[in-house]
Amino acid sequence: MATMTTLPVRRYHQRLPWSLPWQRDAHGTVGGMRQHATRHELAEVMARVAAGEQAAFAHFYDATSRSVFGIVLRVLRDRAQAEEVTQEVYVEAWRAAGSFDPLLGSPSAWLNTIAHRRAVDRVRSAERSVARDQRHFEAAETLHGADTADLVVAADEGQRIRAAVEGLPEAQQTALRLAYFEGRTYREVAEFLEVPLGTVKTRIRDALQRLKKQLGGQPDERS
Amino acid sequence: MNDPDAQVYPYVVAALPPDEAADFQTHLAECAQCRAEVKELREVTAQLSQSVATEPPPALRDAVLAAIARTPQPPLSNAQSRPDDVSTASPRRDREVTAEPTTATVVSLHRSRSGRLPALLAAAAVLAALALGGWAFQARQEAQQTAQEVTANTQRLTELLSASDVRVVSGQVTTTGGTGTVVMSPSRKRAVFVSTALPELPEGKIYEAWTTTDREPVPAAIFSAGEAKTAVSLPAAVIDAQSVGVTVEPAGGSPAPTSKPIFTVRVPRA
Ligand SMILES: [Zn+2]
Repeated sequence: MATMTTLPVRRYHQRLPWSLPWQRDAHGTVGGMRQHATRHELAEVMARVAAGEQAAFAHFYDATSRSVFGIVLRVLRDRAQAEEVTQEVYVEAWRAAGSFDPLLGSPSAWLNTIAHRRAVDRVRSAERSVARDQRHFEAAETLHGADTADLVVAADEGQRIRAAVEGLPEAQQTALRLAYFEGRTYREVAEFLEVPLGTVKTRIRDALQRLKKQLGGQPDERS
Repeated sequence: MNDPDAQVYPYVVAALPPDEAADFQTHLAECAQCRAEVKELREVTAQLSQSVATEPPPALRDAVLAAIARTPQPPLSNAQSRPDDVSTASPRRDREVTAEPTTATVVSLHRSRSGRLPALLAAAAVLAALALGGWAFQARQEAQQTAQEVTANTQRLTELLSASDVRVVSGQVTTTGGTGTVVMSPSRKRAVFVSTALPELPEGKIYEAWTTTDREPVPAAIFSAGEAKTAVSLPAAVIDAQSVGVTVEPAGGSPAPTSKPIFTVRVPRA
């Protein structure tokens, strides 16, 4: 139990409204709450979704769809397929809403796990019938140029995160991009970069640990 | 061959091949440290996805909402083990979700076999647990207790929870670190405050609930707390208020708060 106190949920907890509204803070916000969908609000929406409220699900979609569509599109690189998979993701989220547990993470982390997993599954099953060389070619293109331009399509709130990713040492950045954004296994990444398996794992670990330190565990729920 | 704890990083970016992912999930079921790490890293990967956020076509929203409208939700007890039932790459992924079978959510959801009302009770328990944050162990116990009490004893609350427009919001009781929850329904014009965390007050003191709008707080109810549980009916004004707060006041209550609130939540808008 001792470890629980260091988890993100604790940090989130400190952002709960401690003061009553007659104690307005300097920013004119009430009780320290910001006006967009906070993690807490999104978790409330989730509870209503779990209870079968379709209107709540519409809110949930509006608060999260840019992020979901963005990562699915990034992994699949095909709008038609990305739309199809995004719809599957939300149907799965609707069906599985009852299993969402706020003690195990934020709603956006839960949803993102479903979305990323689905996109990766799709791209891997597609690869069974498509020449690997083609994918390698695309990945090479990604590494040398397409990257930054591609990331710039995202809106402002991604700025800080993109800066953090771009601030990673190049080797770490490459490993992370190939694994997370291209949906490759670490074995494929190693093969592609012609480095040992352990090296790829180390790079992914270092990248994630560094990002965790820089970004913390608090996704902004708006996108 | 593979150090299990080192697998957590490729795991959260879905970079493990299926066999290694399955092995790692087995490990995850037994390793609290890795579960904690997965949880933290998932918040990071969620942010990575935000960095490539892209506006989906408007038609997709319509398609999604139409799709869920014709998709029944499984009973909650089933949903528990089915979050990734379609994932081809990792058939045993459900282990991760059920890795902490003693959490309040899991327990209360398992009790919730039949339909809407129990689901909402479970939702209230979820929120109670959420509000407790880091005091997770305590949250589990209290959330369970809340759901049970509510189910067994509080007819009014039960009615309220069955309203189609019920809203539930939880916050922390600062004196005990426990949870208070406000349940309200605009259509029933009714609200109830529930807590298992209010200590009994010394002689001459009483709890007072307040509703606030842009102006000064308005008294909503006075009540004492006995034993372990409290369920207080609040006026319908709560529904249109900005927030609900509770202070400790001299016996008989006060026209305006004389102490700092020990509990406060913002009222969710519909
Ligand atoms: Zn471990």
